[in-house]
Amino acid sequence: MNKLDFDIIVVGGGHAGLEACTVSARLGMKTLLITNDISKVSYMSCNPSIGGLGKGHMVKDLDVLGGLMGQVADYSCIQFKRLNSRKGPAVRGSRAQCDKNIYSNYMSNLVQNYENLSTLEAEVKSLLFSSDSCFGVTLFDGSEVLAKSVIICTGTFMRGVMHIGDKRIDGGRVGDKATLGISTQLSSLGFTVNRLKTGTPPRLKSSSIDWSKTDPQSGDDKFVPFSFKSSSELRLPQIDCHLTYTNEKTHDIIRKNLDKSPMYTGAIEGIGPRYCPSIEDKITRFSDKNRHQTFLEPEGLNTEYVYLQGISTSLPESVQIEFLKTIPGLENVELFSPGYAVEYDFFNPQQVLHTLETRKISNLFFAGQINGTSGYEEAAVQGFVAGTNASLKILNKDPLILRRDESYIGVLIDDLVTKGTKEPYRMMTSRAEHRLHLREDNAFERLANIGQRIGSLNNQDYESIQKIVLDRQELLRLLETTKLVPNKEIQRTLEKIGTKVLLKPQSLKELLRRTEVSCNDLIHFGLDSNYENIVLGPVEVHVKYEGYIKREMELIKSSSRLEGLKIPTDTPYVDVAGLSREEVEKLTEIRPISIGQAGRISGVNPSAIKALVVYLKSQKIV
Amino acid sequence: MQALLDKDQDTVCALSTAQGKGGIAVIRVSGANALAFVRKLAPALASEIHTHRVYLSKIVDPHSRLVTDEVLITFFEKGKSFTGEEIIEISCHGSNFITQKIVNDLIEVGCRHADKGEFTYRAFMNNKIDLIQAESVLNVIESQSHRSSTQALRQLQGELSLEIHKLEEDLLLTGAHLEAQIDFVEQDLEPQEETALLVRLRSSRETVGRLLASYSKGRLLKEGLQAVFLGNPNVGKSSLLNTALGEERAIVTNIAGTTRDVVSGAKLISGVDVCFSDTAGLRSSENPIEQMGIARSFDAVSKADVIFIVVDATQPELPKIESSLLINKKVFLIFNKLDLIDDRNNTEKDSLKVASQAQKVFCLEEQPLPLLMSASEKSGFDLLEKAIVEYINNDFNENSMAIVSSRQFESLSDIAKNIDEAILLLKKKESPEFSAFEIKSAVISVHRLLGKEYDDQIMDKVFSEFCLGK
Repeated sequence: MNKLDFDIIVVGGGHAGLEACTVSARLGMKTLLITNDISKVSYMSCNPSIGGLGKGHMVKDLDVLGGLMGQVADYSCIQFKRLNSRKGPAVRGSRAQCDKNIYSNYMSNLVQNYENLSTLEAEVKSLLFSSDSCFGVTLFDGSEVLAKSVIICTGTFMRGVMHIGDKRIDGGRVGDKATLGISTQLSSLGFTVNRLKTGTPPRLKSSSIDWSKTDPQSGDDKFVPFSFKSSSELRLPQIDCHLTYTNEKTHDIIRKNLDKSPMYTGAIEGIGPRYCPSIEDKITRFSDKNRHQTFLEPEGLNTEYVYLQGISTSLPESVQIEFLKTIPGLENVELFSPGYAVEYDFFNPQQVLHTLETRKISNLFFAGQINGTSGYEEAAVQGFVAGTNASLKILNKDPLILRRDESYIGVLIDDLVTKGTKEPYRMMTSRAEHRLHLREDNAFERLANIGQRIGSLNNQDYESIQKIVLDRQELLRLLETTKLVPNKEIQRTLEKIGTKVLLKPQSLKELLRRTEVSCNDLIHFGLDSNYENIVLGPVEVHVKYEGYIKREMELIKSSSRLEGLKIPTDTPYVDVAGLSREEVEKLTEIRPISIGQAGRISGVNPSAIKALVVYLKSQKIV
Repeated sequence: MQALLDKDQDTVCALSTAQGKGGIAVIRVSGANALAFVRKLAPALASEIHTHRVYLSKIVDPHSRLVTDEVLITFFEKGKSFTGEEIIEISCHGSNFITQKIVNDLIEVGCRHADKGEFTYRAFMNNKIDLIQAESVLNVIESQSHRSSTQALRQLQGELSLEIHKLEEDLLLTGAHLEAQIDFVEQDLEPQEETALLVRLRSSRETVGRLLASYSKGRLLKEGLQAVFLGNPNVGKSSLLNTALGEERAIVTNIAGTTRDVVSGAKLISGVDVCFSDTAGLRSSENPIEQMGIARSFDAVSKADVIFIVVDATQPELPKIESSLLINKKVFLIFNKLDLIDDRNNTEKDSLKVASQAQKVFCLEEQPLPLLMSASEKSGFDLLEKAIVEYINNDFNENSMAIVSSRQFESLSDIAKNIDEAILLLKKKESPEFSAFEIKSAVISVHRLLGKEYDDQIMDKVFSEFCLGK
């Protein structure tokens, strides 16, 4: 494959790589996906679920922008849950437990039959550079593949090392080898490389579990697909997960063997995620808790693999078996594979721009765990953004930079490039200062126009979304203009639906603001009963949330003004009066695009921001 | 804007001690050229000087070389001074002439006169003090009475900061429990029950309430106490003012309606500037000038902390005042002209009767304390001062914390609103993202008070409080 020219090469076929290569191809780029094993494309290396709080939001946003993850999660869903369903709509998150094999096979078939997309099973040895620009890759067989841009999505495979007790195995995942050349090459070019750690629980053999001693947990009856393109009927039969608990005996065994855990012997230097500690960590840090819950989650319909959610560990296999057998239901458990910790290289994400192109080397993009994130969804949306921006750059178009008030994707990338990360970064709703606005139900309004502008959302899909958006707007106008006059009949109806009578004329919208009134109640007052839920639901949420969203907007108004104060990327921070040396260093390294972003950099004080504003004003820049 | 930036580069100077008071005055010079400029006025100053050392020197006129004063010069090198810049402090003799001349000569050799609060601004810009401290320093500059400066000094020690840090900690903890319910719903976390959250929130609310209540006391120290004599015409209000101040401030005649405008004067009582005001006697009058005077009387009442309702002891008659005007005021009842009463056996009893009547008529929370006085005999003023001192002491406990700037007051008011709303939402068992929003807003306000950026501290708390993880 010598001198074969592509527009874009995507290295790595995980969740980031898959979105990156497919969006590039959709934008008309001649794209090559290079991966070790094409049959394992988009494999779920850890838990068998897509979505959750914050994550589900990102999958929906990605779907509206034209990404694939949502559709395939719907397609392979074997248990669906709406988390926080009893809480407010902004913090409800969809989660689909998926059949891992069906998910991966679907993606594998897809990429092998995708217009503009070629695939290559190979290993990349190094990147090709000329001055400060990347133009291709060298493979282990010595051949070179050239392209206008290269996107690296190698996940945990960069110098990946797995730990099970004192056993160290090179590789990023059980059965797969590590990627070695690229990170060494990049660090020699001056990139900062650090280590992160993550863990995964043991995989159990289904037939060895006594299910009767566990508590079955079923999913929701009502399925709400991630993708607007998916049917609201589930395709696959649904399964139960099973709940069981550790106990003091379990904890004793773990405590006795702590000296065999690489986390405690110092064999692991990488930093692990605080939100996903190993069972060793849980027992040590929260010693007063006498039990920890764990879910037994089947990894698919036709597999004996069971994922043990909550019990990630890197103790020796024999210890794992010993403590597992103290857990009700697992007395005779057999393992397919033990839990393990994996350490891998990542590049401090402050080294990439909001487009995910690296600052040092142009036409080189990073996406996924290489940027210090954790999670399939976090990876997928980065892959999408990197693929889109690599394409837009080649097409000479404006890049895709989502704002923090537009999408969780914007929050994710802005957090990464501004603050960097010390632990594997996972999305949570609390990270969004616009949480009440960034809901699953208004993704169309927030993102469809953007998807259409950049071309990742095809026209037909855009039209169907726009139709719904217009219907919602019309309904909202109707609610605003339809007034109720307090006459006998209306008061009686109000009492019937369990709300207070009117004291003065009110619009339907004002009535809907009441907690106890829903859109369905408004049918009594002449609202057309033929509105679909996809129109009705979001309008109701909008009306009920309006007051709060306004306050949320006010709270961040000053910050959005600061977002609007743009800082030229060539600002000579050494010349700015009032900055400490540390601040000059940080600002020079990160080169924030706005005063708002500058303010989010840790170690940059409020007084420095004032000084910066003063400086920019003095230069007549703002 | 260029000008503003340039201004920050200037070396500035100003008299740092009060004008025209005290035997010694201190002139502060701050900026990159502080030492160079001072050397032009102090040619004999040792060629090598050290930071935080004091040097005896002569200050001369830069042209004539005639000696202006013999002074002590203290040097603070860049990075080790209050403003973070190079600072020279000149301690000279405290005559207006000398200080004026030295400042003028410094300006002549290249300094700029510092703007009000500019040293503090520079200290803040150079990260030498946080926002709260900066505001306290501004208050030191502005404070005129002794108490006020000790108050401001206490803040510099960071006691208010401590109190607010505790508030921050509690709010973060509450926020963490709410956030954990949202983002980690399936994780068996045992976040605190609403009741426990409510207990902590109420305690935070109390702290905020206490700090807010201290604002009025803080203001009392900074702006002094406003006391007003109010009453019918010709009961002797102006004589009382004159005697209280020890000077003939108001014109006194025996013609009812002599005082047409509000006449004021200040006196230092127990470390607080007390401003006494005499007002036009209250009566219905056709005279437009007197009408205006009466309107001003009411205006003065609305701004007052303490009201002395004055009656003629010989014919005690309460003036006609809207009771709403007296809400939240400390009211005393002065029985003036005691000298005209021959048989004083029943006076005290009578005064208590009128006081009880006043409480009813003016809807007062407590019966006003009657003070038996005679302006013409200058008697009873010890009672008046004692009443004021007691009021100040009760109202302002030296050990309590007080917020003094309106910015702090505003932020705390916002925080109080947020906490009230969060308590309401929790009681109504609303979804936690709303109460979480209120708490986060409150934390942001607290951080604004502390001059700090909000940076996900609530989530840090979640991780330290809860055992998370799949």
